[in-house]
Amino acid sequence: MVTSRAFNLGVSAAVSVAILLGIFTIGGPNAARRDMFDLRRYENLTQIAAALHCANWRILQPQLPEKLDLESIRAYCGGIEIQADVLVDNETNVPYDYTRLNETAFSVCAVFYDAEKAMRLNYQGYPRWNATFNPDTGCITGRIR
Amino acid sequence: MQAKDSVRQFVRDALLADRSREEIRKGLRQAGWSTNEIDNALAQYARIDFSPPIPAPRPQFTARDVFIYAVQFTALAYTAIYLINLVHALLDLWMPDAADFPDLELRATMRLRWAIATLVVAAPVYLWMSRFAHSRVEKNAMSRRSPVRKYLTYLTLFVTAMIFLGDAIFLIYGFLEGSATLRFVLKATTVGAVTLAIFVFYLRDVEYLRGDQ
Repeated sequence: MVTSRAFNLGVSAAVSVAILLGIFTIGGPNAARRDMFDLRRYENLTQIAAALHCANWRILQPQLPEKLDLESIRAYCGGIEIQADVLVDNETNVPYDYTRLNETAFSVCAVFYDAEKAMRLNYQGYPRWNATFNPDTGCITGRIR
Repeated sequence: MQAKDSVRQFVRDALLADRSREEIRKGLRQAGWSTNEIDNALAQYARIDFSPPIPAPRPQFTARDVFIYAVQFTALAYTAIYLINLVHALLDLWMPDAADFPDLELRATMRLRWAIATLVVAAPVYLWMSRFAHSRVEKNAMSRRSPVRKYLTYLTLFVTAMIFLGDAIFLIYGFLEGSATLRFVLKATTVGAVTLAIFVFYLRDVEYLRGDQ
């Protein structure tokens, strides 16, 4: 039946064009993997900022650590714990770049493929805890009070 | 005795009495039987000159048919749903709206990947099963009258008609609500185009099957 052939041809064409447009728009598996790593970087920076914010700062009056490792974070805010893999880049295994700006302010930076996209794609929205993310530098800067 | 059985018995008696099918048809029509009922009653007996009349083979409800057509129509449903989903996700990414939630890009990207994955599997399955079913029908006239095929075709017509009407209602509601942006209209048009294409194709298929009886 000619109609059946035409319908199947139409289905094939519509599906093929839609799939190609989809891949062209969001990129292939490599782009997806890059997005995934960027999302992890963004989440890690947000978690680090949350840990450094130190919810009990009024009581503990903490001083920001000089360097960022598990020991110093634990000592910093009354034994607060953080996962070890949060402190390093999941793709390169290089620790994030932490800078103590002064007694109350810090910045944590990562090298992103597309920091702006990572910020847009993040589930939890923008960072809280007195921290802001700058997609141009790939850094979260925050203060503890 | 049901009406169906009585007309069947009448056709048998008439054929035994050497009345032609046209005469039987004419008589039944004058008595008030519908064309469909007359066709069904006459189709009970083979079109060969033999006395007593030989019952025609009846379409069977077979497990094989259930498998073939259930897979074909399920694959069609998946293909249609995820084709619409893919186009909607593309429209979300191409035409962002100021009123969108912040995570729309992530959700649209995930929907798009899921739709691509589903279409890569479902569309070839539909096309292959459709060709397979079609070649069976071409080879064997009985397959053409498969009750499974018939019911699933009518179910498809019903579902697509309901979606098409729902889409039209949704479109009008969008206009009244003031949310009918270009993206909204394009999304509704996609749903309408896909369901209408399926509806028209299977309506023609039904007519083709009816013409064959």
